[in-house]
Amino acid sequence: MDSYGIKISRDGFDVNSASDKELSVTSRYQTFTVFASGTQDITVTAGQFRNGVTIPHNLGYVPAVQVFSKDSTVDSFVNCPDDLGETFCWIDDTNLYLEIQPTGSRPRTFNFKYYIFNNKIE
Amino acid sequence: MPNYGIKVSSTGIDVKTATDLQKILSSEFNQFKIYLQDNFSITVPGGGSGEGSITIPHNLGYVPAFKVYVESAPDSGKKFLSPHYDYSGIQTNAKADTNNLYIDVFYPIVGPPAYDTTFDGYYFIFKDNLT
Repeated sequence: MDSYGIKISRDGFDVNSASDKELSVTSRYQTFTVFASGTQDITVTAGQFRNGVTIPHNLGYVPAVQVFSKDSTVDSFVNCPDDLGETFCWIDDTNLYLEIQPTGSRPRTFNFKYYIFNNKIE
Repeated sequence: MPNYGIKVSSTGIDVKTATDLQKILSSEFNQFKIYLQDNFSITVPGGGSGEGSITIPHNLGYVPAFKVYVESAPDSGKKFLSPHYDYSGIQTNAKADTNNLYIDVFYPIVGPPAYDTTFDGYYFIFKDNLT
């Protein structure tokens, strides 16, 4: 580690001998910081193939993002994009885009939880 | 919280009574530490197998946590988190072992592109382990 900074070890580890992964906080490595977060519901109506919502962030660069999604009738969230090809999310330098293209019958509603970070991905 | 450490509450919240959700920083909880991060490009050869890949060494000796973003289409400026599967376009996967991060881009439905097609992306490899 550099000759200055801050580090705090995880419970049960001696900070003087802790490896990097045994630290809970260290100024040596950048972390993700949350710029904005929120929830969003998206519905496809009967006869509608795909639907989406645009969420502005206006950061002027492409930020890292983490999105979770679920069908409104279940309790468990999964990562978005999901493994069924039903939920999608894209990010550019202005907006976060959330879309759904459900399989099976309609109408269906999906719930989203998103985090937009200050960290760049460009 | 243990008898030592650091905690910082959100604006307007008294740090002495703040719940965990009301803290923006607390050494009681691990933070994901970014070890490596950078841009990358993957080219899918035209008329070939319809797949392109890249291997990024990290040499941590254990399997680290990671996050990978890939363009939805070349030069689109829009990135999605990998893995991603779009019926009308590409599929991407990302995986890591004790030495490397592996990222794939391929066309599962429409077949290979007619010409070389390059997708840009960004990766994070954390110090935090998955094993």
